[in-house]
Amino acid sequence: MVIAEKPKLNEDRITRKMRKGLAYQSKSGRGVGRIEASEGKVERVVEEGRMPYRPEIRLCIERARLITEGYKQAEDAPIILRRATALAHYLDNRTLYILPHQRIVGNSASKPCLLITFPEKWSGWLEKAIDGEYQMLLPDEKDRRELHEIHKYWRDKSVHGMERRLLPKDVLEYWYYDNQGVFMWLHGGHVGTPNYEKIFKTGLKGVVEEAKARLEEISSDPELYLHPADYLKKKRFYEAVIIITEAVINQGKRFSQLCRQEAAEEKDEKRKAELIEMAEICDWVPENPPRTLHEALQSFWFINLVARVLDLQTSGNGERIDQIFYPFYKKDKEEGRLTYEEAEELVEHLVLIFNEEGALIPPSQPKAGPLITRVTTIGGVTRDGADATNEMTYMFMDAKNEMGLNQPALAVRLHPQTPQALYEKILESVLKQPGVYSFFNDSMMIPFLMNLGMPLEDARDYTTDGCMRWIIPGKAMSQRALGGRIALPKCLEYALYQGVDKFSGKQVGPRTSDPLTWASVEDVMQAYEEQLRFFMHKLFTIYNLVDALDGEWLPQPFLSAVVDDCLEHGQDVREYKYYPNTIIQPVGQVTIINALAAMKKLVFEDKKVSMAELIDALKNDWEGREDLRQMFLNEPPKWGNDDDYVDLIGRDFYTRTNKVVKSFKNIWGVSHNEDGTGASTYFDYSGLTGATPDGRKDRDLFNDGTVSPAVGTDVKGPLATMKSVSKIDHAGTFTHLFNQKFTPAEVMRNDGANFIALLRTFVDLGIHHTQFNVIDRETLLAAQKHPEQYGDLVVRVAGLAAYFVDLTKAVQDQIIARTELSFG
Amino acid sequence: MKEERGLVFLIQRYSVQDGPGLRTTIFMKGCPLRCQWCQNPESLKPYPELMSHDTKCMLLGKCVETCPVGAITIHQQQSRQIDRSICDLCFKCVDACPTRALSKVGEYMTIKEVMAEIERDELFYHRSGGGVTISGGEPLFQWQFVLRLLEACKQRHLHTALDTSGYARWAVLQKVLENVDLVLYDIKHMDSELHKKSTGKSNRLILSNLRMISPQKKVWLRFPLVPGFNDSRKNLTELGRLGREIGVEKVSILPYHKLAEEKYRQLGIRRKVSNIQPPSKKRLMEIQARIESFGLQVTIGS
Repeated sequence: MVIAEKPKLNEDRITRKMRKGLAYQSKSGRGVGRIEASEGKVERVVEEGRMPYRPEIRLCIERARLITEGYKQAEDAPIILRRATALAHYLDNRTLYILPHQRIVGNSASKPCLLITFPEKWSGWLEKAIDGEYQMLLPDEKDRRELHEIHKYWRDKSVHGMERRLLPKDVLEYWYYDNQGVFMWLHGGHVGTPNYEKIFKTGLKGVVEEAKARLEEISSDPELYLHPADYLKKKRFYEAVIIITEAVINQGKRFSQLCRQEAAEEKDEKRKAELIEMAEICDWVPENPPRTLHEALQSFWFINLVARVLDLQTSGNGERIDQIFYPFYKKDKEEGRLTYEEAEELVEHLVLIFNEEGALIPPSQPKAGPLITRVTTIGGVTRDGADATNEMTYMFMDAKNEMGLNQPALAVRLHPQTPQALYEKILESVLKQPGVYSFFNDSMMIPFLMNLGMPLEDARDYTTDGCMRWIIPGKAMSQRALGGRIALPKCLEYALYQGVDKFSGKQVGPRTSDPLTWASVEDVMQAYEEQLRFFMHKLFTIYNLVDALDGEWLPQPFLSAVVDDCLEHGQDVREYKYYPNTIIQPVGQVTIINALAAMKKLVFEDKKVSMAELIDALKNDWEGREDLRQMFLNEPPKWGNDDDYVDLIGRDFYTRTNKVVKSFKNIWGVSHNEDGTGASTYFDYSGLTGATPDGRKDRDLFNDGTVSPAVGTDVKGPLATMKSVSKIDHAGTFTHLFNQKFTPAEVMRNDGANFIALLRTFVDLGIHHTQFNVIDRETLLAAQKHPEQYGDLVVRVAGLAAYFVDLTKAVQDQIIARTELSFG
Repeated sequence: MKEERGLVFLIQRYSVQDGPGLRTTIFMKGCPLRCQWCQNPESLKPYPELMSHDTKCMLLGKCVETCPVGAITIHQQQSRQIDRSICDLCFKCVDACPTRALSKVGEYMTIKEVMAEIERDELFYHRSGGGVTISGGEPLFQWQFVLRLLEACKQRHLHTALDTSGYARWAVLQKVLENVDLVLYDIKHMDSELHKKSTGKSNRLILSNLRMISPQKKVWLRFPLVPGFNDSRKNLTELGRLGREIGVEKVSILPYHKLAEEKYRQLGIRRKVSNIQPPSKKRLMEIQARIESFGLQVTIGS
């Protein structure tokens, strides 16, 4: 590999200074309260003076204002044209700025450190929050009045919440998490990844030309007039595509103008030249096909900015970033325009702009605060199955390691032919920036996707969009990023009490079999499945209704323009789908697995404890039965130790839970599926679940991750844990978030050869995903004590790369407690 | 016929300090030496023993109820006491304790059972260049079992290491070595008298065995560094010379630590108060440099 003689970058280069700028720091929510977990109890404590975001963060109401104006201007137009017009109006009138030293431009809000909002998606919760805990985000009375005014327009029009006016009563009751404790409905946002390779060939002008040609074609086809509904739909779609795509092209022109203005006033000759160069680039892209790496990076950011941020912001990203840019780098280098160092510096500018983005998202965890994460993918195999690693794979890792900022996280695809050099780079990287990296296994993902019906070549092109979500980049996919969080252990609890909620005493779930008649784990599983099916029925009723509403009210003409086949079909990406993926996020799996193993051993096999005695103890939160609790905690085998006794229960549990989920179909007639993304919320959704037979007490935390062992129970070391995890049917199920924690010394032992062997075996074993926190316990404790000194410490929580100091204390404690895997 | 069993006190998976790569180490129970600084006191006696983990004990009293000979008492609701002179090692209390505050150390296992544990991590051995290490106690104390275990490993083409004090008849050692790829060989002291004083045995047999092994097998010397006992300049020089003379692949310094003291308490072993202190980092580096000066590769800890 060429990388051996990687040139040393200029230590004084500007990107190293820029990364410390306020504008590039985290814009993740921090939650107004902390979830305190002491003595196993979860409590939500609203902290005095705790801000929902970093102190310098404010709301930007420009987007809300302009989008609302745009909607009003096109009030009589069909919705797809209304959205295109509104978004174009916003793009044409919004404030643009260039930060000092920037070489890739494209701001999201009207000023740095601001967050834009999306009233057409949601307004209700923010309407309340800006007069309450979010007031400090909009301190100016006048701005608050204006936002209230804007929200008035959206009161019945914001799409999120519409479903509550339409759901039947027996489902609506279950919409509220507090009423049932099993699931919380989350709208999430819609993800989808443009086909950059194609756009880089044609430029956006190619898209406009195609849309115009197709519009011309249908308008001149007398046959089509015989099917007017179809004709009108297509006509409006093409018109919308043209409006919005031209607006995106114009965005480049506006930036070009701004660069020229600033160049005219610039005194520094070097900067002046940069600005002039940038003006030329923005004049050329995204309209035309990029000719250089710099143009490609800028074109990418313009398209990404609109498709993923300004239109309907969603976490994730999902392109193969080392693949799409490599041809430009190669050409630049071959033609002597660019060195490796210059290219890496440009990539660092891209990393910076990723971190400049600011968008408000509704908190998916009531008090913990929302985390935004951008994830992009490197490595893996090419569409024809060869190793895809190239110089830019390493360059993106170097740029990320150097910048030390959390966006975008890098999902590294591994496969049996991944070169040793990449493993060595991974070793170096997880020591520098462990929180940035997650690892995905081609050996599992490709068969998994083929099993869903993807052609082999597309399956090989998969990326990670968000924490754990897969996507095929460039394909017409627009999927909901979240869906619902499911606290699976609550279903086990309902099974133990025949559907009665132990806290409220109400019959919430179905009246399943009497536990006193249970004779085996099979009987428990059947009751659990019946409870789960009941709640999933409610959840998917909501899900499908919301999907229909989103399709109706939130078409995405720009995303449609830049993914495959929508233009050809004349259909918005919400209607024409390459694959209609719909996912939910269950948590608490290992809590149930350990509970099932405990019941099997102590109740059904050894008969040390009767079911009546166990249920009595659970009802009373083990009060007065510490002996029994200790027995359930300590005696039965635990998940994560390569012990078939419990591991096979686990395997069966994952498969059967997935079967229940898959028995429900989405509005496109395809089975719903699970996803491991929910795992970061294990602490938040454990609070309504009572004591469980694994020895857990009322409201105590579930395990983190969806396949990681419960804290402190993996006593046989990391290989045994990997073996346990590998027993799950990975290609047949899809909820496998696997956290591991190492100290730096352990990673480096034997010059890192052991760590690399571990990662290679991860590929051999067909495990889906893993990620590492490689940080000394001492460092984490110090960061908890002196957060001000550790602002840039990035850790991984579930699939998210997060700043440690942004996390609630409960999550921080869990990260600290997670068994440090020892090589010794 | 009853299947042969070996007495194993620990199988450590993901072991990385006992040879190259990721390994599984089988710790055999029973040892002919009695080193004063022994870090694994549970490895000495050739029969299973009872360990008491007082920090886990919640004084629930299940053990008191269960013990058939009345060897366990709870003293003033504050501490549990075991009268080791009455205890007949039936281990019924271990099963009865819900908090796992009592454990049995030492299990009689068949070759098949041990191999089943070893095979669990086979994939990792291939990826890391690791394998199986037989350690102790002194593994040669149960040499017939160890011999068959090594044969079984070799049938599976696994890399094998033997971690030994060398205190065994040459004929035995020679036979066992047929299936060993790497020998981890303890040298505690070069002086026979001092050796005898603090381990109970002279080092003559150990040194002569080492000279016989080195021409035919790869050897890593392991030097348990006990400050005040074996860190004199003279001893380090002799050790360095020996290493150079027989051409060892490397020398591992295993510094004394105090983690084992708790284990003595758990086993109910009273010992003279030891005032040995772990070596300082600076001192360790000096010793490492000293041994390195004989042209040897020296690592600390593994």
